[in-house]
Amino acid sequence: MPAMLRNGTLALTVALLLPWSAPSPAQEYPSRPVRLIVPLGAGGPTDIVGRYLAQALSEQLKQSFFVENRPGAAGVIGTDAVAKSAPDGYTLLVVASPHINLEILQHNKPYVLMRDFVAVAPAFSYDALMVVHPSVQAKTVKEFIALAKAKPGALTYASSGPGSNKHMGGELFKLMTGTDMLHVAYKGSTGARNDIIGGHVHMMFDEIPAVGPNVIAGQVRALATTGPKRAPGFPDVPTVSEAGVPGYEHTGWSGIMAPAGTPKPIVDLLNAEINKLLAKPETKATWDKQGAETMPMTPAQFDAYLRADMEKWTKVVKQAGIKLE
Amino acid sequence: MDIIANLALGFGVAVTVTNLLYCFLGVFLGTLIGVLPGIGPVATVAMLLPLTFSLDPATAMIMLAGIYYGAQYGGSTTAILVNIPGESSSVVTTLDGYQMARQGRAGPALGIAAIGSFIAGSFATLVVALFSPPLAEIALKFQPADYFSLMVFGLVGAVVLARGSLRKAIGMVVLGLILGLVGTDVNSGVMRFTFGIPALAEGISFVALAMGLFGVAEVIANLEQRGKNREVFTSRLGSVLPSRGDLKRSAWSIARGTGLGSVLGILPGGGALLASFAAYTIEKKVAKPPRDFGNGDIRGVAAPEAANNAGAQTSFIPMLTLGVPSNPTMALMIGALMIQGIQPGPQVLTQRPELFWGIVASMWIGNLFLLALNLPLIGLWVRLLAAPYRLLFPAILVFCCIGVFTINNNASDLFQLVVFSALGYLLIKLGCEPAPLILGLVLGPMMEEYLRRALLISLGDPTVLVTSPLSLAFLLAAAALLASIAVPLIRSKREEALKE
Repeated sequence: MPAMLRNGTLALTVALLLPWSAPSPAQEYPSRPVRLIVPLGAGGPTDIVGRYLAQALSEQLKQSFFVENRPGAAGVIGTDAVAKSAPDGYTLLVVASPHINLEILQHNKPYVLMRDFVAVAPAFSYDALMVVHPSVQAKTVKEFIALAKAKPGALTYASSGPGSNKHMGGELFKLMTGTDMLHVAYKGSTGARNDIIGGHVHMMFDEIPAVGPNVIAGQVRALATTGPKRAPGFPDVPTVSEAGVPGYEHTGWSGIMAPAGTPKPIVDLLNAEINKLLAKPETKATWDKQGAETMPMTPAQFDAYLRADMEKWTKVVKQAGIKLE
Repeated sequence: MDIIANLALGFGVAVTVTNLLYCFLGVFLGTLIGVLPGIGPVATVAMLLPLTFSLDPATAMIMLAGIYYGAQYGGSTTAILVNIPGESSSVVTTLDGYQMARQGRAGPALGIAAIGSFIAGSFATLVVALFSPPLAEIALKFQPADYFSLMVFGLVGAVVLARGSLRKAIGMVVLGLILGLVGTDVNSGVMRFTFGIPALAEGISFVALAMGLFGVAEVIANLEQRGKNREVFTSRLGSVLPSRGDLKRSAWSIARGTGLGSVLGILPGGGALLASFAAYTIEKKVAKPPRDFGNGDIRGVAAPEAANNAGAQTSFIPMLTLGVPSNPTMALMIGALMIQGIQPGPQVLTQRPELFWGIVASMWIGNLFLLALNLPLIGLWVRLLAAPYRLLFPAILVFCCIGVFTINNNASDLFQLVVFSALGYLLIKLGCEPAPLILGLVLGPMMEEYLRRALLISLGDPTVLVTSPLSLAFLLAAAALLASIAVPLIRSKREEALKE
């Protein structure tokens, strides 16, 4: 019922009017509304990407794509629901970089990401900004490292929870710089962001779309960005790698995966449509402003990207000894 | 005067035919969906969000704000009519609101909720317009230790909420705290008391618990009655609107609730919820006698409803000035802004003043529409209660199930509903009130989170709880409140102290 409501009458009429006979998958696809399951709550970054894609794909494919939020257990419940859905292209997963962390850190999950899903397309990537409260006596990454080394364990960094991108980014930083900082976990990003602006914690790796405006307003100070190259919105801010930690890189992304066994023509169609959307100047303009970049890839490239990402973070988790117990 | 020019700009944006229309549409749809039990503002906004994608940003925000107010008020409507709080902040509204409905005074209860909300909303809108930046600064000053002590204060207040035995009230708070332990530990990510059930990883579903304990348990208890007694409500409907006497009695309660809500609403997380509880607790202590709280005192509806709505208004402040949402509904609104291609944050005020002030102006207009829409609707709601129980009860159960399911689209929440319905029935039999339990469940996890964070950041130094002036003040207030309960108790005048 909520699913229907969410799409308004269009989805309802389409669902009721279309004959249920099985059409040949790729030619007729999508012949009925398509569910994009966001395994997290409404309003978060993954949800926003999901809703944006749903809206755009509905327009491009003249069929209703709608978001269904299935939050619970940090994403495990919703992801598992997609894993157990029919691989017919009518149930898709909005996947994001925290899925990789979850895969590495949560051992008794009912699904295996790279076995139970096929990569369809990534959509956007977003680097993080390494931000400190203005009261912290460090204007550069090097100064920050020196400060942390002078007072081992006394500097704090905030994250949106154990196993989150922000936690992993912080642990990678500690590992690569040999510093000791205290991890302060929050339930989600907003509490963490609030406390870095308020000066109750010292440092945080926070996504550009979220914390960028606070940097521009001078509420927090950006020391570096975490991508392989400087972020378009912050050309004067060096990357962490340039600023003294060579090789440090940590980029968030989001995209679409489908249950394993989804017909290749459907995967290719969705990939082509998403890439068509990403190539539109207005898409770029919208997301540039938010500090996110479009990330066009073929399904094979996305699959390789996922595997490489998984490998990298598995190493970090092992070396840093990150555990959820 | 800047503020007049700014408000003029805002009203210029809000008062166009299109924007007024969408504001009204938002309030209307929000009320319509929000009145389904369990479908609170978050679910309603999430559901209706796609409708706004094609609109101009200001229009979209105005419509969403309308949906938010509508849904919020819809939650209060079910709290009063069928004892089902749509969200945590309307839990206290059930205490006196539902009693009023049973006495045939649902109309005045709904009316005072609408009027109180309107007054509170108007005042809080002014607060947002005048003091947004400084208030956001204050909210930022709140340290984890301060939040912890505020929660302690709230928890002590929970004991005062109860009507009957003090011992039972404390027991209920403790049970709530224990239930609040279920879920993932914030610091380590370890699952606690989930028995390997993934659905419990994010804790017990508040909505399932509230609906089970309040709504469904009430239905079960009523089914026990035989024959005519089974009709919950008196057939005599009484007046539909609050009388002049009602308004006079409630005036100060609305004023106090408004003040409290405006202040607490700016605190991210739990602020608006605490506001409604705190408003009720304070009324119980300071309202002019004769006091009849818990048995249908209209001030027990007026104060928390005013606080609730004022808090809903001022919770826009952190979002508009910092880009930090203070509750999930605000997070959704930020998402809507981003989809519109506007980056929310401190720049909105300087770069898009027409958007900022347009939203502020439409807040007031939204509240006006809410009043205009709901006063005439009250008659309709009240007439619904006259429906025979054999139609009313199944309808309540169906809507409860839909509401619970909608939150996570997960059937396991329905099992929780079943368990808590049984628990609720047991509690009715034992004469224990569920309101303190709910507050324990909601505040417990937050309290733990803030305490541990405070200790973590202070590197394990507990004196941080008393060296922060705010924290100290809240702890002292909690101690004073505790003493005001305990002293009469020691003088063995317990009954008098609690009967109020």
